[in-house]
Amino acid sequence: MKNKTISALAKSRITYNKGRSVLTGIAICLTTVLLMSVVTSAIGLFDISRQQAIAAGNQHAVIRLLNTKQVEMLNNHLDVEALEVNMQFATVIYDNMNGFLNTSSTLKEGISHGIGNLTEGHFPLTPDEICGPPAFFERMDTEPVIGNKITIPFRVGGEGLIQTREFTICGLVSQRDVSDLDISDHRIAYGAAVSDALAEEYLAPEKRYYSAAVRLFGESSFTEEQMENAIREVCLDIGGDTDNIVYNHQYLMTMLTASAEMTAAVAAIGLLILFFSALVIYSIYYISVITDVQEIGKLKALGASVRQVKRLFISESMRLCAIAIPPGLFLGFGIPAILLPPVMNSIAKDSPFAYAIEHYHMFSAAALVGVAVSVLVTVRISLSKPLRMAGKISPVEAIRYQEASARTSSRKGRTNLNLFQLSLANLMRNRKRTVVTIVTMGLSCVLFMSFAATLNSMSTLDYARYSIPEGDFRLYLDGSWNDREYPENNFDVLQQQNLLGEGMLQRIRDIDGVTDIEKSGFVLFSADFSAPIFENHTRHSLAPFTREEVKDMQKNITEGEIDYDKMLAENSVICTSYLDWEEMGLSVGEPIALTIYDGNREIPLTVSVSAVIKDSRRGFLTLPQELWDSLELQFDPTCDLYISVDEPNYDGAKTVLQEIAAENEHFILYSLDEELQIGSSSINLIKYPLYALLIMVAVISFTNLINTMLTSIVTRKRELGILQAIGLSDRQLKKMLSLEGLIFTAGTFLISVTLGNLFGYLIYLYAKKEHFIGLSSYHYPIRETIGLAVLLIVGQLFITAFLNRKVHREGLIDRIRSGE
Amino acid sequence: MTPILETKNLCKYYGSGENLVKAVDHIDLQIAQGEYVAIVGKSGSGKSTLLHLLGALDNPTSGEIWVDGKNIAALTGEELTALRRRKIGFIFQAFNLIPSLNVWENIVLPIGLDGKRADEEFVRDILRTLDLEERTNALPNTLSGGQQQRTAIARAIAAKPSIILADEPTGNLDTKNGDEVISLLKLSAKKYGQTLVVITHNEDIAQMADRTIMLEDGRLI
Repeated sequence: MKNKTISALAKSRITYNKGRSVLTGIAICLTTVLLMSVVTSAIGLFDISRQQAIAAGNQHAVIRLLNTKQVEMLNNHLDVEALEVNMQFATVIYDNMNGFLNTSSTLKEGISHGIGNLTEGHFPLTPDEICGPPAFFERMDTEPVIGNKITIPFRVGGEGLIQTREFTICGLVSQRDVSDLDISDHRIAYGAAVSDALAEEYLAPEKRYYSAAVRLFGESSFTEEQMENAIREVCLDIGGDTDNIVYNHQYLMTMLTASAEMTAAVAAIGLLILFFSALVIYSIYYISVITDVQEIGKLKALGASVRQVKRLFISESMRLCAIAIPPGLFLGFGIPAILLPPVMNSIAKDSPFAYAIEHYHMFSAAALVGVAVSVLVTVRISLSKPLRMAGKISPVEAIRYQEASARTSSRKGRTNLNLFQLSLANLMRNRKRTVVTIVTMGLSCVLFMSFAATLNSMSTLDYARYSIPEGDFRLYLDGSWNDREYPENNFDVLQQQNLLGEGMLQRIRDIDGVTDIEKSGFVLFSADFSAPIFENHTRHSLAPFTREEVKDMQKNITEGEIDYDKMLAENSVICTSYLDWEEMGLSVGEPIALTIYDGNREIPLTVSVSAVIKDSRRGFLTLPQELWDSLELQFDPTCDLYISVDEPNYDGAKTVLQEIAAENEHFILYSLDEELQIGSSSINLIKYPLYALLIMVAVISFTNLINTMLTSIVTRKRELGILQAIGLSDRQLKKMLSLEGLIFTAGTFLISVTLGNLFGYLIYLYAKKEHFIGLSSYHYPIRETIGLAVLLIVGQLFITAFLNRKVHREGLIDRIRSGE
Repeated sequence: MTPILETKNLCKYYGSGENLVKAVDHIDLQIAQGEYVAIVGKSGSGKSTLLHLLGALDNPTSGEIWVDGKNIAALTGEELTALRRRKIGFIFQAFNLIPSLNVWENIVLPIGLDGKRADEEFVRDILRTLDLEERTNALPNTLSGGQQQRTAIARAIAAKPSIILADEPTGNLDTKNGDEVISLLKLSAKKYGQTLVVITHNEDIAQMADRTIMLEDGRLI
């Protein structure tokens, strides 16, 4: 049999087995689409990360708290490629504005930023010049025009007396557009640059501490870890404190090791997709093997050699690939190329952390070729069973080959049969085929459910609860612990004014829609103990906790134990700042004398620390409620109000609360809708692409179900005809096909929710440990489970309806006679 | 007496123009209840087509078919299926057992499809009569040709239909088995009072019938 004959035969087989060819083609095409989409999206996302990282700032690290001499040493260091030094010179005191003034000098060119680049004028040179983004000046009710004057009250270093000075606007810089963000003003930081000369006027050289943004030479030859080590070395060389290094992880991860990590991640996802696709394509060929085996028999009986028969099947499958892969590549590139840019730009618009990207680079010829080759290899592997059989089986055996398991000779059976039992018997006839189909579909759904648990647990609400632990709003006192120049800002003084006392509570209760108000508070204390954090009577916070909260707190213990009754008996407290604990030099159980500040009253209290926990939401020290009550505080220590509002009145309540917050410079209001918005864009960036990927994997597996049921109809054509001849009505036939489909669906669903939930929980635990965004508590993916069930059932019903129509395309007699 | 099977001017044509094939051409036929009728004729004479039309497996081009006093043209699809379940037992040349069901299940299948419970004693009687008692749990792929055809016969009579239609029931059997099958068929038809219509090429089988109908080119001779 010459090659031409084989090619012609392969072509005719594709046309003759149209149903199977179409299904196989779809599976191959979908695999290609999915793989190409993943690779293209990865290339695009990687490129976006790079652009975002560069836009945010290309420094490798910022080394803080450097003195003038150290800066000079850094500038002369041989490893330093680029250097920019900044000093946060002062905080702006204007209204409730979160503003600051800083100085900035470029000592070695090479540091770039996404914003803060000069758009007009020049950077400040003289003490009276100021340069900043237009938003800074507008916030201070001054038109951002070069030459305009602006008077700015500020506190040098954020402390000391308030200075006031008039500046001339000498330059404007680029800024991020936050006008679309619906967040409170106090969440936005406004910064402007002043000259070194001004800083020198106010700050003696020994009081000037700079932050240095550095880049080292040879970026491309470092991994992230190596770069961090190198920076550490440089810091030590100049006598700096390595604790003051802030690495630019976003940049380092993206530019240095992202290639390796991203490649590994993409490769893992790609292999997973290939695995499922191979399973599906293999299953399609395996399930159709009965037709192929008989064909093999006929061909061998006609004189075809084993090699020729194998070449026939390979030629057929490669032709299918030639038809299916190119559109797969086209769609696989086209879909992300079209969808990704607007999606990413939309997310960037809503996120305070992202920069808009103008040009997306997503094409890679190597990726194109790699995907095509991977799919070809997958298809080739899927042919193994028919090719193996082609080699072994004799012509007569092949022609006589029937699907039924040769090992079974009898069946216990039932005395009476109904439709369900008939359907079950049909499926059990070839257990292997049934199991392969269920397992293939089940595994892809397991994958879906596994990741659904983590994705569903990425809760913007959990993210928001970091800022607003309960309720819809948080109104809190913005005060100081140790403001010596302006003690009226300190909490112990503010608490004497009873700002969040009963009067305020009543005002808030009177707002339409307010359903509940919870409060929390703390008092200040100092300690007579020799440790840097307590030096000069530096004050910290002391808050109460209840017996009911102990269980939660025990999850975060790093040292000691929490025994509520023992703590009551022994006057014990818990330290919540596990980072400061070591600095304190205390041991668990050792006594420490505190002075508690209740307004203008001082209360001495000696305590011992019984445990150390990780919980930044509580006071520095926290003690049992009963001990707190025994202090008999005269002033209301409330510092936080958590206000719950019913939904219809949310907006109205927010407006009133904002007015209340505006009445006093010490009031800050957090709103849940703003916190949710900030959290959601970050989380959605990860969630939606992953969901899209998982759904596509599930779709590929669905083609396997279609193929299984279609093949079972084709191979049982005569049998179904006989059944109708002996009394199976059209309605019963439809019901029987539905039942068979439902059995597949039920098996798939069972595997998904058992294994899927198990793996899902394990993946969640791992992701939480690795501090994935928005993960604090496990949320069972109810929606996804219901969605999966609905998708499986609806999909299966569609397939049944389609197959039922296919069955009836031929007349009853023709169906009975087929195969005779 | 009303015939149990009757056709009036029955026609079944395939194709058109030059390609027109008159498989059944104006046949008027009456078969009485309890009668054993053999239909004979050359290949392509329309025997199977006629049988399929009588068994409501196919639709005529024109003419009428009356089964047990009912014009089947007036019946819906569901009613026709019910008719096949309850009134007609069909035996095919190629046995056509359901491979995933054992002998017993194959036999009671039409009863189950009708939503009824099998008369176990009756079915056991059939199995005894057809010498299949030892093979009740066997799957069809382990049965000989004769055993498979006997199972098909059992399936045809288990629902106690009034009419049994057999299309070349011995066509795939050797002589010994063929004779055995026909004898059993005739015996059970007589025992249970059923009308038997058999298509056959075999003259001996035709001679065993009460009446022989001959077809040629779709017409009765």
